[in-house]
Amino acid sequence: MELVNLFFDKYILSPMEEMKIGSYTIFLFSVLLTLILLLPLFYLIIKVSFDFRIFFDFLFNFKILRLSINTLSLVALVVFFSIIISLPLAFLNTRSNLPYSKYLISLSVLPIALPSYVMATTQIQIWGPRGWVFKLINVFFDVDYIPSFYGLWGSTFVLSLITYPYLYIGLCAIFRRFDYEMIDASRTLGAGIYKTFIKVIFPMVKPTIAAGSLLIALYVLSDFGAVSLLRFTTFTTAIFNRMYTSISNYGVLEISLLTILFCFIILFLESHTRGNEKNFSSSNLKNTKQLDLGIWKWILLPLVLLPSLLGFFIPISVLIYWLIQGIINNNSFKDLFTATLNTVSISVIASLVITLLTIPILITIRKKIKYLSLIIEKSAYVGLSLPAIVVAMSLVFFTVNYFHIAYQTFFVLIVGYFISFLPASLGPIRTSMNQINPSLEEASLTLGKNKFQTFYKVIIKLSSPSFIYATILIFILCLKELPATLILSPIGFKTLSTSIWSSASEAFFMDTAAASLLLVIIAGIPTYIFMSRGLSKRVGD
Amino acid sequence: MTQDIEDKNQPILEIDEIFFSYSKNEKILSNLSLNVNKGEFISILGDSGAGKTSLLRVINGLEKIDEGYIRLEGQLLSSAFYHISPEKRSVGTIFQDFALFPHLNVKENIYFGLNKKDKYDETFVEHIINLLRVEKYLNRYVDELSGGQKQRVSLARSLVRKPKLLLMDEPFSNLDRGLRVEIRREIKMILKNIDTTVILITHDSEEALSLSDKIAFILRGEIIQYGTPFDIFYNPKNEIIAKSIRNSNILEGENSNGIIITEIGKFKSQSKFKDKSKVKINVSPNQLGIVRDKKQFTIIQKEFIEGDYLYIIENSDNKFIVRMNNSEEFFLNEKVGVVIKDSNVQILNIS
Repeated sequence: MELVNLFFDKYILSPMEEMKIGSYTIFLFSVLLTLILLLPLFYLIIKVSFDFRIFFDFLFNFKILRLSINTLSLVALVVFFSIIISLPLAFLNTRSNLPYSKYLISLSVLPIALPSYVMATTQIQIWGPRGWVFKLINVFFDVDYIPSFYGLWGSTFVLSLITYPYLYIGLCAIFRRFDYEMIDASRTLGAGIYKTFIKVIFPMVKPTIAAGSLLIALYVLSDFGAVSLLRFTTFTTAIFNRMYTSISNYGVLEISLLTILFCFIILFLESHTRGNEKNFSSSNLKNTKQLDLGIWKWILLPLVLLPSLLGFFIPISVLIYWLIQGIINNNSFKDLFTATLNTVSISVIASLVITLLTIPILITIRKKIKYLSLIIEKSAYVGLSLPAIVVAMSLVFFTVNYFHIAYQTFFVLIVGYFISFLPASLGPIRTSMNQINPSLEEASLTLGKNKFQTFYKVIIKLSSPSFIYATILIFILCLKELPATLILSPIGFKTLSTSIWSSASEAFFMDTAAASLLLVIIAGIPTYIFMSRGLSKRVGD
Repeated sequence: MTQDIEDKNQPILEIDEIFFSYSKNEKILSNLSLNVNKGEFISILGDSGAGKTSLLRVINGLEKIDEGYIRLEGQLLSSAFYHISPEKRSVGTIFQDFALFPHLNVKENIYFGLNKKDKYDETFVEHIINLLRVEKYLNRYVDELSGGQKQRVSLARSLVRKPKLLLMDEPFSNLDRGLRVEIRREIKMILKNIDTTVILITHDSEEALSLSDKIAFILRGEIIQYGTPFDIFYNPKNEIIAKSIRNSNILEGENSNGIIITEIGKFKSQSKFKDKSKVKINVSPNQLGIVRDKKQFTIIQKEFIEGDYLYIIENSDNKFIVRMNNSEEFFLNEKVGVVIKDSNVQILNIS
């Protein structure tokens, strides 16, 4: 660590200050990164038919309306259920005397490790027609029909289970640092539990809920695996179908633009509900007062276990069941080792690169340069909202036409991940940095450290837990990523997700069990270790 | 010896007619000037919102000024077109909440501002660590320290850099009352010991009076009086300073040849105003007494302070604060009269 500090001081921070070009270099670099982030948007603008009559005819027809309603109701429902699941879950796990809460905190994050297509296939096995639930009911009663799992409700169920941890993690961190005295104060001022929740607790967690909901909404907007397996038509499946089933790609660009429009509406809503980001944390970490649940703790315990059970352990059981079936059927696992190695190495490299690239962007955002900081910040979210397939298409277009040497290289693959996942690292790191007491930065300046040294030694060091968190989050997202990996990776480069997809899309679930299990385990271990325990304790403190 | 005295009187910090504002409509500091001599302990005293913290932030360079000049040891630090960044000024700052880095332990906090390549004076650092008695908890983290310990670590962190000037922003306000007086004395001694020039920001007049060599009273972004504690205490320039420095009775009266005739009697002033005019005078609670044989006033409040009773008495026109020692006790709501015990007063500037 000392060596790293010395290196930064001698070769990076001091020369940057001496040359007086540090700020400009960073500034220009982040503008370049922003342009890269906007590549998909440029692509759509270049390619869209500028015959406005056709454009509007297309937008204002019944099919598109139907598609919009589908997509929006899915986004709204998943966000709603994620809040409903994660708010009580985070509070009970962190601030009550619930038994085993030490383990429950981490267990509840695990569903994040499952790719949506694995979650969907396993849940179909359980809830679908002729699924396990159907068979279980038939043991006791003679039914020949259960409500269909396909469509809106199945997709909501699957996506809520995958996405609630994005909100849950942030809420855990907030509740851990929550000053319980504020609840006591509110109670002594005559406010009941309900009023205390509305007036005290909710306003404090509102920024976190807004940030988490944003991430979830954009995730749902761009998800492909779950909705396509659950046969629910949204923007993404429409784009995909049009790309692969029609020759003209008619409508792809229009729907993509519509997706971006929705993304901006969501961003707008988020920035208006977020309010002022303030540091509500109490500096006193010894404040660990807990809510005494009394006898209720035994009633609540199974409920608290439910999300991780449904979202992780049951899907894992299905995978293990399939694996055993596969072994019985003599499936071969020969490609698995290469695929695992490929997946892990590309994900590690990509997550490190993306987290590092967050730094110059954050410096520019924090500088609060009029409009520019705002543009950079908002454009980062375009990639997350766009179906990865559009991101991939745009990169193919630009590399083939203008930068052929990069076509189907790891470089382009990492650029694709960067466009898609940057906000996942930007959000938490920025929140964490905003929580740093401004006088610490000022103290460092008055102690003779220049702006860069202060940024490195105080801001980055203090928010380092959020850097770890961001790196792991991006690592997991890259592990699970499918469409961009399919399209952009070099020919013959097989990853776990692509091998799962090549079988899952043909409904050979059993063949994918081993790859799926490996993927979930690789993603699950860091999730369990870092994402909850160390993290919720340290982010922003 | 004379050399030494001359050196002492050379201002180390010169603030020359500075203006500062956050927005165009609102002047935070306006036409403010202040000179601080080497080794002096200066307090900036004023109510909240007077501009105290802004003054501190323009001195340490965290804010840029709109007009004027700030010089340290003759070197220009700030002007309208020139600004040396905070890290290049040899100005230390103690923050109100101490601003210790929570990710570093005490030792790392203290060494934060020292660079290996600059070859700092290790014996001096050890001297400071011993002087501030922080050597026992060098390996502890900040959240394991008490308020007083944090205060000393924060001071050590600034002092090891040998700042030419040390700024302290309400450094004692976060401490318990008992601890505050003790730490205050100790820190004053340490700072004198290493001959540091200090500017203390405070709203606590008692703190300013007890610690400072000089006090600058700041009001609405201007320094309206600058003098020794004795001067400020006994010759406050106007009503606002008089009232904020201590319990004061401000009376109006007719002045004729240094005799001021007021409603409750005659007072004398050393400064003999020739012309007959209306003046305001500052009468301390010690100069008044209360008696039972007259009944013009009612006692509305009674406080016991450092062995004496402080009574607040009022009638329909006036309200006075009277301090009584070694006397019989009076009671709340009792009807009393007021007498003058000491008639020597200071005439206030009418502003």
